[in-house]
Amino acid sequence: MKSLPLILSALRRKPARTFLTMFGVVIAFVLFGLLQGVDSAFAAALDRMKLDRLLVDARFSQPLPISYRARIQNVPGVTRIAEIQFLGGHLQDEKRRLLSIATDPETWLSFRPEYTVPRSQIEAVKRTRNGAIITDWTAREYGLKIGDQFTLRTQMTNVTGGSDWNFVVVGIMTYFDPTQHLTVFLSNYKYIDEGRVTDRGTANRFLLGISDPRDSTRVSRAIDALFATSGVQTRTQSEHEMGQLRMAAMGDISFFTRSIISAVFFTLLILTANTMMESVRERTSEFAVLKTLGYTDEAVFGLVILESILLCVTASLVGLALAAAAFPFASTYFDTTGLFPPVVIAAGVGLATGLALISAAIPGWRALRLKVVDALVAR
Amino acid sequence: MSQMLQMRGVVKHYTRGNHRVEVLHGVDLEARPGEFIALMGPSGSGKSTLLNLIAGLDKPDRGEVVVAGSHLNTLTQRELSRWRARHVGFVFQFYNLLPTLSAELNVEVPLFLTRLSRAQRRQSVAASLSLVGLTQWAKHKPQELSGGQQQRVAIARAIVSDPTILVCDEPTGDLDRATADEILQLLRTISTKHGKTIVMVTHDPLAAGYATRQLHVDKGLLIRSEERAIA
Repeated sequence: MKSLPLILSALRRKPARTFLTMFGVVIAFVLFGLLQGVDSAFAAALDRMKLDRLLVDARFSQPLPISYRARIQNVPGVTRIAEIQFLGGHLQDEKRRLLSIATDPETWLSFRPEYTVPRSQIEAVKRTRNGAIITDWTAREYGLKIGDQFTLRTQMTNVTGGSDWNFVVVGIMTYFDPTQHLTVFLSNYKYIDEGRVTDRGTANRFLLGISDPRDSTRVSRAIDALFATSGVQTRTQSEHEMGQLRMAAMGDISFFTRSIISAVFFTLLILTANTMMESVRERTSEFAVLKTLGYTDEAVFGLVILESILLCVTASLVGLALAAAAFPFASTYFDTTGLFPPVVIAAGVGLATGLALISAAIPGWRALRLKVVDALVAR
Repeated sequence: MSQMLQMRGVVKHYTRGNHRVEVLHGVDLEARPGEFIALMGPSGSGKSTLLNLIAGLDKPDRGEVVVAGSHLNTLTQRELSRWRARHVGFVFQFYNLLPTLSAELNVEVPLFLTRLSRAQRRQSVAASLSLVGLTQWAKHKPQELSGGQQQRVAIARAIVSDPTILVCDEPTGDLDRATADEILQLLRTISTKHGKTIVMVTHDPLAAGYATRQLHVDKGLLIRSEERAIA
């Protein structure tokens, strides 16, 4: 762009004002990036919670009889099912908890495409009674590798009379988001169920797949109806619904973030519009000279608009870059993925461009309408 | 082209408040290529209005202005802008350089409107700065230059796109005598050696002495024309 020196020269005219305006825009976009990033990460997390994955829990915090499994599997629309028993504990440090998901690992993994495990390791856990598939983060954190044994210290008594459970690492699963600290591992349900002394033949939850996500409500109702008169009633809902409920419990994140962002950007709009207005007013004679030299009215208008875009978009990119850098830390407070959503960058640049256009519209129009003869006389 | 500039029966009004003031009352003027014309006259006589019409910054209410073969009356604002970029170089009394650009970038500004490559633009800028004797000051900002040097930069900017006519509004009005003489000598060189038609507004009889023709304007009319040979 040939006229770039002219635009840069305009921004260099009052360096302090340009810096302060850019600083304001940077701060606003850091805030935008973080809040919108959290909001988008929640939405993405919710998206990953599929409608075709149903969770069957006990209505009143009781263990679910494992016999329910066969009956649930017979409900029309159910394609596969995995029982889940949670077993929490720690390895060396009591404060650093690990959670064992005792299940049929192969079926469970078929529900969770976000985890990658080599086929041979799935076969290995099927063959190894106390086999465990740990996350790559756990492997790094505890220095574990395939073949290593570890002991999970729990509150659940086993048939040996103690509450230590021994596992051998047979697989390492990789989560799509490497920034996540995933403190779970997969183990065989049979190993836990047959090893414990209480609540044998029960599970905390059933995870099941259905053939048509649009059927989730009907299937959920059918399952709950099956056990409506049983001693242990069920509550079935899609993973997506459960996610929504959890997020609703945290408040309306979107409303909260949008309210803050709106307030910030309204203030920012006034700031940038004022900067552009001042900047153009000071340069009335310069615009007159440019027009004298042959710049058309539209070209001068374009220079003002481009100046505003350069100011706002550059500062917004800096702000978004800072937000992206800070996002993994911020996301730990909100239990979201640590990956900065690219859609936020695109939305931010779009917003910055919009801000620039609105800010420069009136001063640009004035520059466009400027009559050379009048401006030169006024000088 | 026998005439570089032809004005016939040019009338121009301005509205000031509720009053309509006729500034030019039917001016006829012709200038040959390479002529150096000084427009003189008291304040409010209409010489700046005349200059604006010659430069295509304004249009007459009546009459005809033909410069470098173009009938300026018939051009739209956009066409006038493009015409100015191609045909007119401006020199202002207060230089009107862009303060944050170096001398060479100031000179390059009119070339941003052309299709010249960066290398070609740089070549033209270097040639213009060399002509005005400021090659060594190319990287300096206007505030680092004296008034005379700034006006030389302004002249370099005015000639860089090789215009057919140079329009100067009191180019020495802000300079001391010695510097003014240098600038006027430079303008005369541009006129004689490079064949540029120059129209200069001035109050200064000494400055007008550098021109090949002096036109006296008073109350919106050309009242006297004095032709003189270049010394």
